[in-house]
Amino acid sequence: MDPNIILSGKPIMIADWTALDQNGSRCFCIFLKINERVVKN
Amino acid sequence: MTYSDLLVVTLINESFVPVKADLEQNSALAFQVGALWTPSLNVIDGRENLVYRVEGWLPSSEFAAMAILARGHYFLRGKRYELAAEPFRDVSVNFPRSEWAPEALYYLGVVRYLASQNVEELKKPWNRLQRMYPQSTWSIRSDILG
Repeated sequence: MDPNIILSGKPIMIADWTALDQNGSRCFCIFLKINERVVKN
Repeated sequence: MTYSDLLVVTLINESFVPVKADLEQNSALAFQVGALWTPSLNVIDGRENLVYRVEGWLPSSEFAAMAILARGHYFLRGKRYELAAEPFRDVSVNFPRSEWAPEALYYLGVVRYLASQNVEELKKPWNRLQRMYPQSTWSIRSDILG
């Protein structure tokens, strides 16, 4: 699973999740891709 | 602060790969994913199928409950009913005041019934749903039990 190739348009992997709070006014779309490695374990 | 909340951070680290797209910079992607309003929270599976979507800001407890509920829906779609029961139960027990608690109880009944084919397993969560959240649309949907 490579989140950097998720969908087209090259969304970026969130390096610092907590920084999202400082970007509250931005028009962003968050994708939470279920970590299936955890699920399978 | 939703995203820096310890519960939310732990949940994201344990169960999800978070990805962000700036829709101001990429209107084509906004169209592709059908995003009409931001922030748009989209839980997707490994094949990038949409499992659950919420538009609008959420406080940390609601965000956490939503993410857990979405995992339940993920397992339900895969017909992994026993695994689906745990997140639905988690939301109903640990986030009883959440906007998602009634939905969690509804689907807890669904997955327990599908796992057991025993209607009594459906009735227990649905009876609790009707007692605790009588005004909820999910309670209304469970009125079929009579």
